[in-house]
Amino acid sequence: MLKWGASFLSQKRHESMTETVIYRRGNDSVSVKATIGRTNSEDQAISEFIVDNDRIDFIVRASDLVLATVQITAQDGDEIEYDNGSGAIIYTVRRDEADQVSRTVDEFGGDLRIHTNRRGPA
Amino acid sequence: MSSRTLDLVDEIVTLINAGAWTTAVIAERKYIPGFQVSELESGVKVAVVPKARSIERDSRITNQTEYQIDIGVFRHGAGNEAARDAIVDSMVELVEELEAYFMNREVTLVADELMVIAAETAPVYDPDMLKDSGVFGSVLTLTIMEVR
Repeated sequence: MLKWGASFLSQKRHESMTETVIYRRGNDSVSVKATIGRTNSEDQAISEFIVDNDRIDFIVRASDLVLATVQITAQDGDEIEYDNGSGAIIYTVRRDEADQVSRTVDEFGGDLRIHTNRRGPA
Repeated sequence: MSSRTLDLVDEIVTLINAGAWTTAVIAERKYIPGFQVSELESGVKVAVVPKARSIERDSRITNQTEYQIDIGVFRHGAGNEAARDAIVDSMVELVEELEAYFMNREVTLVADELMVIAAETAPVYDPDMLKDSGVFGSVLTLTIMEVR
């Protein structure tokens, strides 16, 4: 029953809370529907100077990550191109504090939360 | 009575903004020296910040004051690896230009009463920041002496 519930919620998220982004690795790319997760700023500092980097999580269906007919998992260095209406921005898949590039949203593994840093305009 | 330290910082900002550098810059005094990555995508940003001040008695009638002023130079290295590397090269060159300018004995500050006696760049740039955020960041510290 829990699995059914998780699947139901995932379907609803996919239908009404997503935007189309482009997932890219090298020369291969695929358009997927993603929910924009928390937006956290992660500071980096040199001496007293702080650079505030935008960090966004993208929640996607794991089964949608198919590049060149091959099912993949998110890797450090992959890119996600996202246009929020102000122009396309590239986000780079990066490890979080727990050294993970992604984690499953629930125990059934249908949806993935992928961690990224802002890279710059496309 | 205005702060001599802040007058010095403001004069450094003015000199940087008036200079003819190989890369165009915008310098400003920053109370909280920080930038959003998105701000750095449009060009070079320079933040000038007072870092330290020490005063020693130089003689019975004069004191020697030493100021340390930090100049943070930042730029986002957008584009592919080759474009990013070219930006890093130009930024390293820019910081060296700033060093050479302020160490020029002809340059004195605040009505000729202060003089730059040392310049240190550390880091030349931060590879971790470049890798994680695509940002070139370097800090030039000027040591400035005043005797009066």
